[in-house]
Amino acid sequence: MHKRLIGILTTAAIIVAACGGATPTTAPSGAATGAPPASAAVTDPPAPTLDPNDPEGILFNFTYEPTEGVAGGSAIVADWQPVQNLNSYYDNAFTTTQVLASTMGALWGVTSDGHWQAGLAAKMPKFGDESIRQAADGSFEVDLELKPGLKWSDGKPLTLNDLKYTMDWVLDPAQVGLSSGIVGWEDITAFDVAADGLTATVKFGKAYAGFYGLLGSMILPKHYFETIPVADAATLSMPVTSDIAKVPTSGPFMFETASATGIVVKKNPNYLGGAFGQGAYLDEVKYNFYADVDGMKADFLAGNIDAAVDMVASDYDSIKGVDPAIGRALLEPAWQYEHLDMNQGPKGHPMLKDVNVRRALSQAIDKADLFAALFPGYPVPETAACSPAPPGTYWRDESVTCLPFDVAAANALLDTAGWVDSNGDGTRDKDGVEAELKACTLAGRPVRQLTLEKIAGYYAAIGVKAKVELSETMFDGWQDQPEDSSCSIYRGTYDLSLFAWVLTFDLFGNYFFGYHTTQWPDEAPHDGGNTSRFSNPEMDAALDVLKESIKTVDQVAAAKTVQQIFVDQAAEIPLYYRNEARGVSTRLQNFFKNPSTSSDMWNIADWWIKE
Amino acid sequence: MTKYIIRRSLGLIPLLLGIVLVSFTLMKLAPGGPQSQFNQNPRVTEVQIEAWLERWCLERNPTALSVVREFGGWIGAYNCRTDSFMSESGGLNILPQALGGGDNGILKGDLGLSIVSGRPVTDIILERVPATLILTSVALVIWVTLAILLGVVAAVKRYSVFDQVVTFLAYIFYSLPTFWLGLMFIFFFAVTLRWVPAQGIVSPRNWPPFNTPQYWTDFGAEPIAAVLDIAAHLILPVTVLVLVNIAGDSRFVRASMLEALNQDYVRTARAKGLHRRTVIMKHTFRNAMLPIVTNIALNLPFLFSGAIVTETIFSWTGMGLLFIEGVNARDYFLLMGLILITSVLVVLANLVADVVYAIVDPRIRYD
Repeated sequence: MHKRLIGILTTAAIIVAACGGATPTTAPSGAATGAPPASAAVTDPPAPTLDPNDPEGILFNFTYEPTEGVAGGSAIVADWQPVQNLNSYYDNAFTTTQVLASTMGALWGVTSDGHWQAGLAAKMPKFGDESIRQAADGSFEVDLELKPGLKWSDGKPLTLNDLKYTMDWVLDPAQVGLSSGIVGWEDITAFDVAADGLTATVKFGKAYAGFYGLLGSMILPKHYFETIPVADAATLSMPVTSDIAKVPTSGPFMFETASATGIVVKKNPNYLGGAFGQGAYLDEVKYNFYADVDGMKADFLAGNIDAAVDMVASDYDSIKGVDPAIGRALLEPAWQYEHLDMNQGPKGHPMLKDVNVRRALSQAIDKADLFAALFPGYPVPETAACSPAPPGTYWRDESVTCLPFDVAAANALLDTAGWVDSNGDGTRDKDGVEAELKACTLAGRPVRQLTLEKIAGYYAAIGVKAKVELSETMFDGWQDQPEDSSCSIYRGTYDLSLFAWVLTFDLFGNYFFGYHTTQWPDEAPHDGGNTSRFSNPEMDAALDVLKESIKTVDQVAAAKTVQQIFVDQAAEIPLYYRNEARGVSTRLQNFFKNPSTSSDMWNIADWWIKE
Repeated sequence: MTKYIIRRSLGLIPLLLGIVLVSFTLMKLAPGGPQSQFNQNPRVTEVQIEAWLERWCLERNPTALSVVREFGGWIGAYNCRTDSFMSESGGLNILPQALGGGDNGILKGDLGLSIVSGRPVTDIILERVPATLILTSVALVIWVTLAILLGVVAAVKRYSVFDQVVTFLAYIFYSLPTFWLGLMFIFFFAVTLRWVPAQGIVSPRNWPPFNTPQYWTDFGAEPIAAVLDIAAHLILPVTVLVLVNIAGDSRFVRASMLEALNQDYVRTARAKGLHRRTVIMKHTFRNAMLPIVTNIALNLPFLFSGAIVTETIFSWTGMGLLFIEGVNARDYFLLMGLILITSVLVVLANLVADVVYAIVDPRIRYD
């Protein structure tokens, strides 16, 4: 009772914010995080291996073992952020993705163990069977094949003409406000659909590495969307009102009603999927939206929720004491990591341009001690954060040699770089410049502030002074703040910045925008994402492969190169890999949390209720 | 009195204009904006963001001129499509459509569209009003009733044990933050004891989302069960609102009663041998009601504006929560709609309070 009180008070006192949870693009995250208790250590997933005889297996060979269930029943899924727009082409917030995963189908999706799985497609296109063919000039073709007999929830046939229409709709000049832009779609030069609509060949005019994700986008019902002017689609196509029932769906469920309070979806009688060919087991799913995460947790502990999603690791402490008769709390890895950016651009401290200094700053941080300080009583993760590929990601290179915690080595590196304390004030200097760094993070996150204070302590031990500064506008775009705005990662007015990266299945999207020299935000049109202003020719070459090569072998090899250069050049300092918490009721079966930005509803057709 | 009401009503117009203009300007001057939803999204280019802003008639970095243009568009004086103060039909945009003016702006009853959802602000607000009205009206009736009872008894029995206990509890609940009180109630009564629901307006396992057509269909089929379900969900948020507000209002009633009890006419009434209850209720209380009525009238806007913290703590999807969502999303037009409605209610409530005051107290005359 006493511990629960402390837990609730602590939770109430700590403002845990998130920038929409996990979003389907690589993005810095504003959420602070926590760690598992001593009784529930998180085990890292097994390391992926690339079979030279079947290189594409690393993308497609998934393991999924659901239990066969019984039809019927209703499940309550809870999130704590409202849905504003149910069209993911305009709003890719976590809650939107959750709802759409149960209603709108796609050719394929991502499984809970991080592999592609065919959905509406009859099979995954592969190089191995030549359903993907690349020409010497980089252009390539992808053969698509749809499962036969597919229908929309209103009974109209679902064909690849719907996907072709989706492409045309995205590229329509009247479109404004697409959250995913037209990247990738604009590279398609031809989309030829066979007469029966079940097969098609999509031709890309140049290499586009993210084609799996692109072609796996939500398919729009042509017969419905062509009744709505494209210019008005953002507001009229999929509103969060009872009119949502008019939208035909292709997933296991179809819309019944929607409001700010919740969304109800009912079993789609025309859905042919499911692990056992059953369609959907559940009769309905109700999405309930709460004003904040604490309210959602309270209702989960009271037994009113079957799946409480969109929680970070620090939320686990509040729900781990759930009555076993009601449910269980999960803490599982996510494809995210907390890290420190070091500004190597013109407005950053000159010492950060030196790789030896960056390596020294990396080696000066005792990550185990940091973790223990941030999350007292929790076991330190077995894998210290080092590579920009969290455990469980298929492109992770376990052979990457990480920089160890070593204060003596850090001091030696700084000495070698010429940073010495020439004036005896306890802070190193060089050419009259003191080693004083401005360390920034988003305001309102106590865990992050504590992280920077700890890091300032580690750096003080090696003669580097770090001054912590909190900012409300750290992530605001280039155009949204003045040139001299402090702690702006896009304006480059910081030395160190602390936030999290969220990774997706798209290697190009994960790394190109964040580390390529051409992606400095300082260059017009100022929409680059390389906020640390990292620049390395070998890294650029590897990133160019990620951008231009579409072959799995090349992509994985380039990703491994990216990881090694990232560590060798100390592009950033990963601090710890993040986990996510979920609350699942005892009655809900076949819930498998998804570590990627794909929804936890990825297999909702197989969910069933055990009373 | 009629002239006074007319004069005050006319004075509301420039007052409201000033309120919304200042609010709009302050919002625009705050860093960021609705385009922040595209932050950190490498797939959305600056050109696309600018086109999106142009569609909403917004500018990223406001200048005095741009604020005037955007505010003018919201009011209905400026036409974004023609980029001028003239409508498409060539007349002054501020005029009614029938006279050649434009169709945009609050002067034509159009609160605009929500930037985030794209839906009419009016529709969004109307959807949320029932939830807020249910919560706030129940809470207001209970706390006003209890505040009057407690305040009157505490004043009549000044310095008694009852008065001491009421005073003590008033100070405690007046000091407690609403969010903390709400969380404690949820923890004890909903999570630990499971006596009452923890969140929301209806039980999601048994009912569709509140205020959807499906909900009202099911309500019609089982009205008693629906009312009981809502009543159960009202217990905690209403209790919080009542406890926090009753503290201050009961002290106010007590002070007002004490002042009246010390008046000469009360002593005269006692000296005349009137029954104690008659002295208190007919003479003292009726005179003490004047400031209390004023206070109640000033609380009326609360019925519609909602209780932001309480609605957030209990996930009560009403106007208060809508305001928070609008602030988080920087949904300018939604926020302006809410500010306008709240401002109108506040100034009208003040007018009503003044008029009621004059009606209740015949000594009060307005010229």
